[in-house]
Amino acid sequence: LKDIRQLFEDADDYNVTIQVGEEPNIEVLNAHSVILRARSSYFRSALSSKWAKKKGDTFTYKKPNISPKIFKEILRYIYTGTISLNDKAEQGELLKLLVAADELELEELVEHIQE
Amino acid sequence: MSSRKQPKGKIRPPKKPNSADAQFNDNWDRLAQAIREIHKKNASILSFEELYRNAYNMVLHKNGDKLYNGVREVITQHLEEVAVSQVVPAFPLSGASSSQTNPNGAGGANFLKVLKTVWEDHTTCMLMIRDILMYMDRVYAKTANVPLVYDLGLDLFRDTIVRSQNYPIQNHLLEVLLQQIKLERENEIIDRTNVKASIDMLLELTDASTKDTVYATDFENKFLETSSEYYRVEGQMLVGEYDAPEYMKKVDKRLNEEEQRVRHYLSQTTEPKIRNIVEEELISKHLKTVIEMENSGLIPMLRNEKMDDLGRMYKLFGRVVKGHDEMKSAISDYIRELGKAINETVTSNTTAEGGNAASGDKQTGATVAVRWVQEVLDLKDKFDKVQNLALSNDKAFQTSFNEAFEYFINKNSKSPEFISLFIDDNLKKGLKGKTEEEVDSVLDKTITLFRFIGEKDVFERYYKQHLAKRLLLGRSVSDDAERGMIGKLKVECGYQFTTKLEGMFNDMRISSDTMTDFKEYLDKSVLEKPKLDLSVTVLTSTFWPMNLSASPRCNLPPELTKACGTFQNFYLGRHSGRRLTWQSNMGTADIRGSFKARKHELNVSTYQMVILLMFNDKQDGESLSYEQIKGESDIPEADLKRNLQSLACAKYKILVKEPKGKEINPGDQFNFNNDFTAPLQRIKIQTVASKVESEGERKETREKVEEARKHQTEAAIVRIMKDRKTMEHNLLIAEVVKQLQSRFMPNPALIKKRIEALIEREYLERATGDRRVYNYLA
Repeated sequence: LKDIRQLFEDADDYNVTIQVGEEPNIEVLNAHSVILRARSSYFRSALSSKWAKKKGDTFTYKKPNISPKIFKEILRYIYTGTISLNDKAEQGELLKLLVAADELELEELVEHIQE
Repeated sequence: MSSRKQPKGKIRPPKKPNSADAQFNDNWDRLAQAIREIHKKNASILSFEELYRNAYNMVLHKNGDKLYNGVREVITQHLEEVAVSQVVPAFPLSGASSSQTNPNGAGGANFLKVLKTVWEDHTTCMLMIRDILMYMDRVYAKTANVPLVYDLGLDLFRDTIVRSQNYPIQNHLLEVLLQQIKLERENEIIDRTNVKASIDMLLELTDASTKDTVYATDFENKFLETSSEYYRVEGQMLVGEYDAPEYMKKVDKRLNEEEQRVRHYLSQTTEPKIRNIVEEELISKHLKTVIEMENSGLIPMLRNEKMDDLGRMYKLFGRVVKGHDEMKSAISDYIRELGKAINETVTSNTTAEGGNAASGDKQTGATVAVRWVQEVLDLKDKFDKVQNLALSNDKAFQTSFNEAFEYFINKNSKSPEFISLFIDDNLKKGLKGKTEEEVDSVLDKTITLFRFIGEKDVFERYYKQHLAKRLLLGRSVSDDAERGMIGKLKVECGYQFTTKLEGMFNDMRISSDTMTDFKEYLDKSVLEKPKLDLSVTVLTSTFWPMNLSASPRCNLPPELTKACGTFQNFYLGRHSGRRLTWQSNMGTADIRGSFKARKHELNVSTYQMVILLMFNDKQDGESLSYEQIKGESDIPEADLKRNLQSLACAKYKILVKEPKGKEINPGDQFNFNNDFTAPLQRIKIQTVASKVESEGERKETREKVEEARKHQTEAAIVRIMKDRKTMEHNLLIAEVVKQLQSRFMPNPALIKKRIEALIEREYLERATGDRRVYNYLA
């Protein structure tokens, strides 16, 4: 798991670009398709050959209804199994994360936050 | 994707009901449109994220049921269209199942191909629909307790296509499938992938009420019914057209084909069912017909030792309940029949050669016995081979064969005698040309026949007689071989059976020691030495088969009587309290005969010696009549006749008989044959060899056996009653039978008679309350 965390923090072989948020708060994040698909049935379908959009060798994926901040937490969770939000300080953010996790079929994360 | 991007605004929880409705309609329209695009195979223009989010939002806003029902409607509509536009036009021409209009089932094959495409399209679309409705499956379907969307798709496919109410798709499908299978059974090449696709489809669909697969509810029974009918007809055709080996090959092939068929494109659950049908129609129903096929059925296979065919029949028939039973009883009957034939040739031979046997051809009787045993052994060998090569050494078959052998062997009342004679033959001259191992293996086989004999006591009696002759006449080939044989019998029947036989060997050993002592005794003694060498074998009367009470009379020459007396004194001096009875009928003598040409040393029986010595006092040409010889020698009539035959009618004619002929009759005259010539100096006059008994002797033996059985039965009864003290009649009978059956099979009437005799002699009494119960009286 530590090695995967390494990939989250610093990698040069991303093959998915994720455009998150809505104007003007848009950010493009990078990730690995294998990791996303391994961790979430949502991404398993989204990045499957039936549905995936590609630019060259890179998967392109847009997620307008989730803010960059929240999606980064999602990615953190997908790669490392942890979140960095402080439960006391950021109640509102935590709720948004919960909603996003539910949409993306990250049931483990949903349970984690509810606890 | 950008083209589809619309200013949807921010997705937020709804604030007003009507805006939620608008939102719903908007979301649903997009989804319905997308599903239609998926059905049109236009999915590449769709955005997974967007569609998923639409469905997600609808479920999130409690519109799961509307979504679910909407999806159902769209899919149903699509499938209806598919039915009309694709499936129905592909229906095979009317009468699709008739091979006349559609010789190769091409229309049917095409129909299956279309169905395969339709099914594959459906499942592919459903997988995509499932992807975008993942949230609905997880959140709505589970709580609303409705099938997941993919399963919904299967149900819709089942009801709209496979079991369409509007079009006879189901009929066509089943007919085509059965037709394709029929074509394949008739050696047409069919496209198995199409058939397999349809079968797999039916296997994936579930019947709502039975929860079983549609394959099981709609297809399997029809398949089994038509198969039953098909093989019923084929079975009748095949038995009419082919011989048994070919028939079995065909059946084998059919069984293989059906197994392959199931493996390739049907459900494994069908395998035992279709196997049963083929087995029932092609094997069970024609068991007897095939077994009894003339010139090719079971018996001809056995006759010609067709091991492959027999093996095939064994394997094939073993598949059905009564198969092996039928084979077993047919083979057993055949063994009995062959056995009966062997028994018959022997009896016809004995009667045909009976005359010869009496006229001095002493070997004939034994030859018949040896041939009988040899033929039975050959038969046994043959069926052992069958058992080994074709029947996988099946124990049940072995048992039934053994019963058949037992049956016919015991049908021949002479079998105990014959087997003993066969052993005699082998132990007497076995080593001529045979190695000891060969003799041993022959004897081992003989033991297997011995096992079949019911009357082992009769065998024992004959064996003792034959053994006695071998020992006393010194004709036994080797002590080791004799002891080996007794060892085998001991293994079979236990210690008791062979004690007396072993006692006979002991007597022989002790006698040879006694003779050494006797010679020393004579050397030291002051008495006049006998003028001849006397060799005596002292036999314990209970071990040997000689009859003491009917001890043969014979007037011995004085020198011999004297020598006997000397030995008697010597022996009784050492063993007081014993009685010696001379068995002159068993002895041999070496005498010297002077003939015109030369002198010969003659080895003759004691009786022959007595007869020949009478001629010493006679002038040349002076004859003695039968009556004279009889009167002077006092030899029993049967023995006298036999010995005269040996001297006057056999190979070496020491005496000349008047009138000539093979039979000895009262009034015959005998002369010493002075002109006798022979190339050898030492001549052995063949004494009466062991041979099949004459009717009179047989009767005598029989009586002795019966007498012995009475004693054994009484002994068994007393033994049992002494132990139990009191016992019910039937239980006692059963116990007695159990104890005696290793020696002979006592019949209940005999046992009852013995019980009565024992009651009379007050060993037993009937219980006062119950006359069927006996008490032991100590």
